[in-house]
Amino acid sequence: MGGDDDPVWTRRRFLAGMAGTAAALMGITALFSAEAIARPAAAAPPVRDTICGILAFVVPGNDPYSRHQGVSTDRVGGATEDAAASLEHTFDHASPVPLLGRAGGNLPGAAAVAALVNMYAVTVDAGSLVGPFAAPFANLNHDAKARVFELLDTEPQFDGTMLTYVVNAIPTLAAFAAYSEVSAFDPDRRVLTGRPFGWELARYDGVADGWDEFAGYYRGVDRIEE
Amino acid sequence: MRDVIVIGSGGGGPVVAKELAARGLDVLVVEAGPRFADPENEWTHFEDDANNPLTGFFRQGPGDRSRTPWLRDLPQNSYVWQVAGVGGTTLHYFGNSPRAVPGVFVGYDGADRNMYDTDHLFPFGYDELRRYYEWVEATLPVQTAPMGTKERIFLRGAAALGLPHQTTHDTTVASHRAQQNAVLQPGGTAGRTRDPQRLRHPEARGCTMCGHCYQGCYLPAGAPRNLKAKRSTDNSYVPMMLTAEAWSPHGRAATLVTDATVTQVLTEDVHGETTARGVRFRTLDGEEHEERAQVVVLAAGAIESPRLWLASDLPNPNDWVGRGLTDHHMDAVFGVFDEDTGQTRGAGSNARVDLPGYGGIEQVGMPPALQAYSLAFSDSGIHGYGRAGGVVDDAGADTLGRLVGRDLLATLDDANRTLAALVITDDDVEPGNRVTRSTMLLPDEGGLAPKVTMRHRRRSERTRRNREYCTRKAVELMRAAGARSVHRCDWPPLILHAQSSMRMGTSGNDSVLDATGEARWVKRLFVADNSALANSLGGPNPTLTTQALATRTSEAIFRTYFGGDAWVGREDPVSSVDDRVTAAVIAQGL
Repeated sequence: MGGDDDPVWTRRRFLAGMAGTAAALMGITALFSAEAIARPAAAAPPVRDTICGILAFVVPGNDPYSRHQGVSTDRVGGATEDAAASLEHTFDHASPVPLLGRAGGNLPGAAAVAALVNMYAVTVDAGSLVGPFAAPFANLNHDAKARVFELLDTEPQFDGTMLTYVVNAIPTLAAFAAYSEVSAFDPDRRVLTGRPFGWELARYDGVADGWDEFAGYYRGVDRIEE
Repeated sequence: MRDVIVIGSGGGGPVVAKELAARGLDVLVVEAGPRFADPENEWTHFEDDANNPLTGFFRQGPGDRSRTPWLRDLPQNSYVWQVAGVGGTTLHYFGNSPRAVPGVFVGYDGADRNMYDTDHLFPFGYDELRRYYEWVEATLPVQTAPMGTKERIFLRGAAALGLPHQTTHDTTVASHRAQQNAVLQPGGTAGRTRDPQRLRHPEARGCTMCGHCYQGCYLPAGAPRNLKAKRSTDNSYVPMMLTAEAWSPHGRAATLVTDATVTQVLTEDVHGETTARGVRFRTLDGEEHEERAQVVVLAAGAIESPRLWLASDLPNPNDWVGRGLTDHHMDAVFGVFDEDTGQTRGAGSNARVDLPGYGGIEQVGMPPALQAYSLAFSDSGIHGYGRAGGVVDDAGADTLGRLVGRDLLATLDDANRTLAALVITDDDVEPGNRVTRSTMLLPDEGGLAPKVTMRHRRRSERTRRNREYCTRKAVELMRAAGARSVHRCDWPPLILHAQSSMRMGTSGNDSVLDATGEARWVKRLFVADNSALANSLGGPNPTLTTQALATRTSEAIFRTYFGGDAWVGREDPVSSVDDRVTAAVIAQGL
């Protein structure tokens, strides 16, 4: 799926996606959004909606992004305000310089990530420009989101560039954020403000200074000699 | 003029500094990152706070976390996971301290001698390094790891594969064992209680089995710095180098300067030979400094050392500076079990399988965010949706690739019902895998950023064979241990073990260092970090061997340029937990 021989993935379709994305980058889709957590400014890419769409894709929950993609649960998943803010902060540090050049708006960080995945979201489904969210990516169903990443992972134009690293980092860092403490963490005081949602998903006992876990030494060997 | 300047205070630099400070030399250590002087108050166990690769307190970047990290240009799907600061990448390491396999040294004549990277052997025999291993193992100290739940399950699987139990330091046949770790064994209440009030030193001693090796070791609470459980160099060699006058009869404390980036190795021509004469470095206030020394030791790590060499315009006649980077071509295999695995409890890795000629497998324990990171990191695309051009199969696992959505939720439904195995491949030195300098990223304090190229889908045939062999074994191990399902991640290069990019070797055609660790083309310049390794050691974790080699290099420096005698094998090593070190650490508020 998604290779150069895939009828869905053609140069023509890519160029169409680029055009659509240019519109997306200008915030045109914000006019259609109904459920966006954070409405973007007219000239800015819809970063928060995109990031929430990514978090919901990687760790679905009971949020609007998960429900819209058709894969949701009855619990809080990855798409929380705090996790999204943290992930944006991470992306801003991961790529502080413009990644996409003029065609991508010379955007750095989370804005570049948003532009990138939205560009390919429109490529996968031009209809994603219209939907409940400002971000085309967030308007896709789960399968289509997966196809976006397959296209990104196989995009020959990225070969030998840092974009291959960035593309891989998007879902990886999203997974890390969703299961970390950031959904219930005060970064200034560096203390929990509640039980992180990701910990609940993983039934994690939480951090500790130690456990009564010592079970002796394997086959009674507690030291070895030459 | 100093006697010796050491650039970097990670796994190797403090070893040289401690050894030469113990001989009474005037040693300056310059570290680009911060020093965490009060980790009990500066660190937390929270994964994002600690390990967010871009914003955590353990990252490759300045101590001020509001500032941009020191990025690397990675022109492929990959990540280089290192830590800047005093302790370097040992701050988040697991303390695993196996010796290299004998087959990667010259002179090895075992029946399996052709199984290794025979084109890039160490330029001396394994027996030559043995006494340095023993010295470092006594100094750290290295001890046999205890068992917890995850180790019991992992070793149950290993034993079921028919692998014998190894009870020696030297690895000669395929086997399984508890790790030899640079982690103090649990004592007192450590490992016997979860009550934090009863886990303070000295009631608790050694590893409290908290499950947070990767977030840095500051336990047991209240313990002097040199008695913290994990022997990362900030807890072992650094306290020793800073207190050398207290425990060595002729010792002289080393000087440590942090938050100071070396921008150039200074050289001059001496009798027609390029000769190191000092360093130039920049401190946080932007001020430039120069220090001169009789000997300079490059120990900034396998990425930064070649970068600094290139930035300094030092000679590179065979073009091998930065080449030959090895990383153990890692992969990860996860099992999901119906029983409690204790995956988030206990030390990071207390059990291993060695497969000489192929590599090995380690049990690794992680809290949930790092498990999620591991499961979502792949070179094979999103499981069930595509392959992203991936070049491997599932190696017998039930699933392959990046887990997202319901697959990730199901696998991580209980962070204590997974078991993770890290595949560490005996990978080949290949010239195309290398460190250069980037013209894409903005320069940082050190100048042009490093560019790390790993041709991971085009590794040598032997490397690919070895990785598949070890991964398949890991899958078999999980099933033998009772896993309900098994997943293969197929990691792209997750460069946790960066090695051999300034390698020593038998031939001047494909190495940077001679057999003593001295640069072939710059006199009085030595390299003493993972980059000095001749190869990937056959798969074992690199830190112990780097430290043994750095000890050997220290002797070479002392003999060659200071007229001294060797000491390893002639004197008894002082342990980093020795009472004299402890008293000095307390007295100096370290």
